[in-house]
Amino acid sequence: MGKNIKNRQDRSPGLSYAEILDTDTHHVSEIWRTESPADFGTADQPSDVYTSRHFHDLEMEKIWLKVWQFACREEHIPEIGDTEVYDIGKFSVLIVRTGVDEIKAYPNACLHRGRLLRDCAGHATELRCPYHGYTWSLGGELKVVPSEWDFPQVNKDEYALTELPVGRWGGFIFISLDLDVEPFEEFLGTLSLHFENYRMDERFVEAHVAKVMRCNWKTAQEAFMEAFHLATTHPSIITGTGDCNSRYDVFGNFARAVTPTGTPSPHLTWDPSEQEMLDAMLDRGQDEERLGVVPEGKTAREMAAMASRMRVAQVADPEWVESLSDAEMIDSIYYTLFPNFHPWGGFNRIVYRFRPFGDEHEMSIFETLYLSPFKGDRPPPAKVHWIGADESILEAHELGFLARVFDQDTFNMPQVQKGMHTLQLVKPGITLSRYQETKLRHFFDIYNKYMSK
Amino acid sequence: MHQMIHPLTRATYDAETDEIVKVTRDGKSGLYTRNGEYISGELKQSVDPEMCRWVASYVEHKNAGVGASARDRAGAFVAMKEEK
Repeated sequence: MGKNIKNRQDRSPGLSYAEILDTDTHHVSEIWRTESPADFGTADQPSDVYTSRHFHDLEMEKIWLKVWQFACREEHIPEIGDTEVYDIGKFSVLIVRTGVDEIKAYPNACLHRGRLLRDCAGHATELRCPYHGYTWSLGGELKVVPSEWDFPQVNKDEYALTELPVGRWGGFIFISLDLDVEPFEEFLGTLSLHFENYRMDERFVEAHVAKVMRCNWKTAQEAFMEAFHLATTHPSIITGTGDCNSRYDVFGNFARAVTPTGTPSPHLTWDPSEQEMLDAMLDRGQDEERLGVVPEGKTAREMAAMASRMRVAQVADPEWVESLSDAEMIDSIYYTLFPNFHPWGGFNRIVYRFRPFGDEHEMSIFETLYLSPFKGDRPPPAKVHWIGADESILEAHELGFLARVFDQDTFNMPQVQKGMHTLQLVKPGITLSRYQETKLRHFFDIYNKYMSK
Repeated sequence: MHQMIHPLTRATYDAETDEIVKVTRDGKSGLYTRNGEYISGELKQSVDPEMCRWVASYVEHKNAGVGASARDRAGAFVAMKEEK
């Protein structure tokens, strides 16, 4: 872990996030005021971890076979017998609801000849291999050995499916392929405390988009771990976004970034009015009617938070909505739990997951889930909308405005991957900033520990 | 169609279609692709490709019928207007 730093000499000019929180119209919980910066130094990060097959293979062995990882939501398997398939690299995991409050995970392979037991999610009353018919109960006991007389070596008691560790939190199901993995709660640390007011288990998957990217999974996820890129990649929003005023905190296996909105970027050479900031936050063009007006004495932050509260109160408990601060309603609060799970805090509904595309080291899957509150019966989770490597993320209409933001991000990601090969001709590493890229440095701090085990 | 002033350069970006963006700066204009490549016009300089994409994608979404939704910040304001 890096050394804690207390002074602010190495921070951007402009308001600190703590000062922005002081203007909040609602109570700000202690978890938002808590700062936990870390200094991981200034060394370059070797770039071959993004480009080399060798590192991909090492990651499979040292990280993906070891670490806790988000597999699916509980709502994907609501009934006993519902199954989900989670693939990571060349490995596949079968997740099964075996009881009202019991979930099991197995290596998704028949113990006879190795065929996947299930190719995709769905309901099952037994786990039967489609090849020769070896069959297990949902609970993993071997039930049927076809031509049993011909397998004198198969003892049913010894041919139960291996139960993999399962962790559950906030409606998320995590698995590990390591039978000796550390307890899930220890791995998670205090993350659940950060989310205790957001009722993550009382959300449903309103949208789920999986975009195949022509870049390493780390290249892809790093585009969503800092606000340093906003001024260049998303310039239109910085009139109302304090990109450099973002705060970066580290807590064990997870890190947090908070980027305030309704405050101008320190990059600007002019002073936007509150109205101009709100217009930028709402993506209003010069030739378009205003969507919201900031009255005299009010701020863009207050107006945006008020509008969000009103909207959310229609589908969630109004008392709960009223308990959330302006910051929780409108700021970008984005966590990363090592290695690839990115739930957003506050009222924001975003969850990202990044992983290799199959066994390819220079291709990845970039997934976005919208987890929305609901009233009444739980709506069914959205089916995954796959978007190919050569298709545009703009096709993900269900993401609304965010698809346009991603269109800007995905413009860079494959070009970063391609450029790194050329960069290696002159320089072995990428040069990360000391503070604004804290989350990347924190990731590699943990990554290097796993890789060196 | 979707005209925005670049907050850093103060140039105006105006999507003519979902593929063509008119950029105006210091009284001169030029047409560029959605990736910021020069097509024609008096203004011939490096422009911001991400800003071109931003205004062009607005048109693409509008043509596809994607409006402000409840999931967007703008959607909250649309709803507030409708309630009034």
